[in-house]
Amino acid sequence: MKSFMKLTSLSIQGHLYYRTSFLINLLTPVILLSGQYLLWNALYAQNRAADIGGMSRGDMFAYLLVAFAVSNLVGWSGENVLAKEINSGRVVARCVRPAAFLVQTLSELTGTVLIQGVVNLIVVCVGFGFFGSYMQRPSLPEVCVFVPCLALAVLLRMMMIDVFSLLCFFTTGYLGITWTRTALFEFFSGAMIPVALFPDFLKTVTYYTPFPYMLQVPVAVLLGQELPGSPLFIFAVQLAWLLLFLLIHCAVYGLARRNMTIAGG
Amino acid sequence: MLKIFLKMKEQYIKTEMEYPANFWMMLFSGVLTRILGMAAPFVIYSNLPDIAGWKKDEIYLILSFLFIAEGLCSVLFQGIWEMPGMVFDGKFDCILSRPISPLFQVLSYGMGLQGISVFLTGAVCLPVFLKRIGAFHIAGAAVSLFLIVCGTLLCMSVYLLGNSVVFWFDAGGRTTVPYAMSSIGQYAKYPVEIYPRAMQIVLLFLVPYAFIGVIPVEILRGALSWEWCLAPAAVSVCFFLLARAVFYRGIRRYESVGM
Repeated sequence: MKSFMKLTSLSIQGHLYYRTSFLINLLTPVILLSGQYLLWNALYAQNRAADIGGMSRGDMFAYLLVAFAVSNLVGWSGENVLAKEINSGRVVARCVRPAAFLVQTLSELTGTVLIQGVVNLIVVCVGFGFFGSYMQRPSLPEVCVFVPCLALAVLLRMMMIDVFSLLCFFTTGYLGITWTRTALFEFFSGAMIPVALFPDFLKTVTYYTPFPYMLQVPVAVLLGQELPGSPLFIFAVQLAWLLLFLLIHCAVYGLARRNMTIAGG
Repeated sequence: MLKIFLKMKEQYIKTEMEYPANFWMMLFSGVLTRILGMAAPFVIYSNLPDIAGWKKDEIYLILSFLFIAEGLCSVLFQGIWEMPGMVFDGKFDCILSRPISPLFQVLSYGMGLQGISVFLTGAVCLPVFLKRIGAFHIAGAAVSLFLIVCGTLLCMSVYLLGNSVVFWFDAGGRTTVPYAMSSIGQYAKYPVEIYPRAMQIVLLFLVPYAFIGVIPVEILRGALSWEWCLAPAAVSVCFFLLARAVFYRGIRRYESVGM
């Protein structure tokens, strides 16, 4: 735990070092949130019916705000640290440090998530504070179920990032893998469009993947929207996916370590 | 100059072909990201009959133009995205010390392999959706080709403008400004008239992605006259000159390694 905390604090320091960029990088996702709001506002304005796919305007705006906060917890630079180190060979430093490889990855990502999480929480509170009357507001019991569900969702996303990054050991490049992961995550997690709007066949397929459990499901839990099952079922599925990712991590990392050739011998 | 440009691209593709797993992964990611990008309008249209009178095929045609422009930019001008890293690592010194235009060197540096599949996705979709909206004829094809050239120049200029901020901010080679600018392009997948006036100004004048996809389709579906073809050309030339000026202004601030 001590090494986890130390590495997390180092990760936070790394992000805070370039202050101007740090501030700009924190706020640029807000531009994208504004774009999402304007798009859906326009779609609702020109739609004759009061709702789209069973979601009212209030449901949608609340969904966009919370989904934005959850989706943007990890940015491009934060999630590619391991992949870039593998690509450049600097990953060898991780292999010789006296801390488990996975712990190092998770602690770094935690550092990123903590900083961005605080900013996103402020954005969500300000959003609900100023525009709460136009949105569906969560109740206290929903918040209580949401917190552990979000924690598992974030951990699940970190594990997915870790597993996809490990694949860079075999491809020697990381951009293709990162773009594939990002595209799958953005579409199937509901970051781009709520899964509730998907046609039935696509919705069924989506819930068989881990992606909605990283975003759509926790957001739906918070806002009391459509869920694939009871909260207990959701926790069980999240834990099952975590276990699966852990097993894949062990298998892929074991294979990579056996075949790893460090420059110079 | 063209010979050097093509030679650099040739060398880069040879290098990348040495790593087949990465090469195919890049191509696969290009197709996947665009197919999932096309799935978004599919989901919207499964819930709505039309968007401001625009049919699904017209939206897919906008996407085809965007894919071709983005794909070509990625294949031809990927160096723009490498620029923040070059400035941070001090590799930009090499660019400045060579007896060729720095802008030319940046543009010809590297190659986005995924751009090949992005371009091909757009190139396959374009004739299909041109045919579906009834614009698949010689005039339509010629206009489309001209608008693709303008769109690619405009796309490249927006990328250059966004990435040139690296000269002003201590970004550590990882500023999100260019990503934010290119992400605004997501909203240019839909007709501009559905947005409020402020957003229309952004998409038409500040980050004018509307001229890459929406305006060309407006021309091809007959909502705008053929003379409107001059608008994307004028906007792309103006934006290129602006981006070029900002790039060279930024070079004056470059302080070599340690910036």
